Amino acid sequence: MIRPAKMSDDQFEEQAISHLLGELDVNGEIMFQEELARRGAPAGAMLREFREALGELALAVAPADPPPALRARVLWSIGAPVAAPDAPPAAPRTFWIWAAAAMMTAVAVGLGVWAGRLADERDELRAHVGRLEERVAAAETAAASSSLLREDLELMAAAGSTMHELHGTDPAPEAGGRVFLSAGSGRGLLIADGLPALGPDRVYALWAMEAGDARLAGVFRSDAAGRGRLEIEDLDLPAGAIFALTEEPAPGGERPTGPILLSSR
Amino acid sequence: MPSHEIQPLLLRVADGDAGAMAELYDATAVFVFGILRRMLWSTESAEEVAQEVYIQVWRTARGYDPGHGSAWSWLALLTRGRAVGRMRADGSYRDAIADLVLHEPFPGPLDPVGPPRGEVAHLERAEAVREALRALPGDQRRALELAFFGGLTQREIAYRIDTPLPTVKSRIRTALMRLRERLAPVPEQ
Repeated sequence: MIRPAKMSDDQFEEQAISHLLGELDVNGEIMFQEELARRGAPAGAMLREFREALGELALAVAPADPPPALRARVLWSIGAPVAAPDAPPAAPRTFWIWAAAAMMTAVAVGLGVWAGRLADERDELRAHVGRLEERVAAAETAAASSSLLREDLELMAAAGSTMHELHGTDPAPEAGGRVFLSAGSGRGLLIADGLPALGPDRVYALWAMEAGDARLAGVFRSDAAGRGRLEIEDLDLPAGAIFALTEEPAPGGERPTGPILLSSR
Repeated sequence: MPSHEIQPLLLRVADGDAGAMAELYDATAVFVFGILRRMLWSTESAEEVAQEVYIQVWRTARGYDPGHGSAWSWLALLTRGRAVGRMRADGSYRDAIADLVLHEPFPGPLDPVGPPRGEVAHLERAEAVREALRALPGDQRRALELAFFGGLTQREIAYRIDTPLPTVKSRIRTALMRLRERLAPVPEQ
């Protein structure tokens, strides 16, 4: 990863705003968090003031009453003891687009039976349905990616999170990565890049190693660019443990068998 | 809805208290929904995203740290983030919204003047924020509104208003610093 020159105070404040607006990519976020930590309490206070100013900015908008049914749907969604809402809680937007699509298809079929001269219109409607389906799929993919990145950043920025730098070893000198662990929750995140291409029946495995004991933190496959991401759940990290990444036969085993490619030592 | 009143609720939500979640919803829904309607310009979309917001609150309240900021700023930025996610799912939709933000000063057509909601203290605070916004130079206010409510990145703003990126960043930073100065913290009872 290329490190920029030392940030000026103005640049750091601009980075802080980009951070609060969710504009930083993963590397930018990592660099910002490092700079924030390096600058200490005054920088934390500055960030808090910017955060509060943005929060206040939101108050400029006039309050508006939400539909009454929304409350029941929210509480039902989190498992609170309320009566099931009338409408399904998930993906209403998708539902309505599909409903519209279904209606248009039905109309198109009806026209086709009624008069052959309307067949062209029916085909056009079907094509429109296809385009709507493509837009729904693209929208859902983009929303999922955005949500994933935000969750990653929340974990990185959470209070008490620790970061473990992973360096490439001789078999993978270009590789690098970082593990972020949320204090107390056992949750964490590995971000890696520069990983060698994997065979179709191989996976990467992340281990927490301590005194000859290796605990599997999870397995993943890298993308075509050699980037990898792994969500860690319920990891009880022993004191003094290091992280190591190995390549293993899919789906991965209980003990590492391949050479270490990344290590936090 | 003073922030010091919702902070205990948010901390109870973090402990999995569904009753606190209901209280938090009751205390904040009109504000969250107002933000979403302003940003998404659609009551239907605002309703969908509001549901996502509160589910995320329930799921991630453990990550809230009072030392990093007020409960309201945490919730407001979470709400904005969800709205921006919805905007980014459809680029042309976002462009249309950015146009509206660019050309519609507060209050916009979806912010009708109606019966006041909330406590007097909140209404006064909201008016103070609007006054602080109005006091900003037009180019700073426009850049800040496009970034916060329009969901555009600073680079996209620079392209849209044909202004160098460093200038846009500087305008937004200066605007926020001026807001900070004008909106000095209100002593909480």
